[in-house]
Amino acid sequence: MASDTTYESYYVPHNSALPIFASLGIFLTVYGGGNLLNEMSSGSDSNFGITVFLMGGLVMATTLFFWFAKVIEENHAKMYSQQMNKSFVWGMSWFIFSEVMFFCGVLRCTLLHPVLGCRLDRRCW
Amino acid sequence: MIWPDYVPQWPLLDNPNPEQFAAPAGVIGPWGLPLVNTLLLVTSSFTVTFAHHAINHGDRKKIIGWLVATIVLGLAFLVCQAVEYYEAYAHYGLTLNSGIFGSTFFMLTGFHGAHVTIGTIMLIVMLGRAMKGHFTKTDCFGFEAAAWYWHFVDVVWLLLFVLVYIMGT
Repeated sequence: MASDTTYESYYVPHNSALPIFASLGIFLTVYGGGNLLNEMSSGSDSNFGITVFLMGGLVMATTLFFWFAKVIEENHAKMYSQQMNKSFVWGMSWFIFSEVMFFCGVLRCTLLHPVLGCRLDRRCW
Repeated sequence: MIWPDYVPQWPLLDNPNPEQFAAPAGVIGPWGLPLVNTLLLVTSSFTVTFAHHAINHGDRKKIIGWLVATIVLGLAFLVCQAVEYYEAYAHYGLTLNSGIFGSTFFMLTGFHGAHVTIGTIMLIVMLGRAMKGHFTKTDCFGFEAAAWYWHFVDVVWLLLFVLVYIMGT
C-alpha cells in the first residue's frame, strides 16, 4: 500500500470555460470548411462557408491563445510539479503520434487505392 | 481466361467522363518547386535544432536569430506551395475536380500545408516567448514541443515528396 507521502502535491486548476469555446471553434471550423468545399465544387458564389470557417478559426485561435497563456502563467508561478511536467511531454508525444497515424491512414488509402496504388504495387509507373 | 486483354492498370489521368470532369493537362514534376521545398524544410529542421542548442547555452540572441531563420524558411515553403497550387490550377488544369490524381494530390499536400501553417504559428509564438525572456535549459518544453512538431512536419513532407511527387508522376 502506498502511503500519502508517495505522491507529489498536485495542482488542480479551477473550472474553466475554455474547453466549451474550443468545441464551438472546432464545430464552426469544420462546418464552414465542409460548406466551403461543397460551394467550391458546385461553383456557388455564396460566402457562407468561408465566413463560418474563418469565424471558427478566430474562436479557436482566441481560445488557444488564452489557454496557453494560462498554462505559461501557471508554469511561471511554479504551480507544476515534476509529475505534471512529465504529463505535458507525454501529452505532446501522443498528439504527434495521433498526427502520424492520421497521415499513415491517408497515405495508406492512397497506396491501396486501385488507381494510385497500382503504381506502387504493380510497378506500372 | 475471361478477359485475356485485361491489364491491371487504371488510367490515372483519363477520367471516365471527361466532359463532366476534365482531366489535367499535366502534373507537378518533383524537380522544380517540390525539390526547393524539400531543401527549405530540411534546412529549417537544422535551424530549429540550432535554436535549441542556443537555449541550452542561454544565448538569447542566437535563440531569436535561429528561430527567425526557421520561421522564414517555413513561410518560404508556404509561398512556394501557394505558387505551385496556382500553377496547378492555371497552367495544368490540375484541380480538385480533375479526377482521382487531383483529389489525392490536393488532399495530401493540402493537409500537409495546413500542418506547416500550424507549426509556423507555434514557432512564431515561441519567438515571441523567447523575446520576452522565456526558456531556460531546464524549462523549455513549450519550445521543445514546437520543435518536435516541426520535425514531424518535415518527415511527412519527405514521405510526400517520394510518394506523391517522385513516384506519383
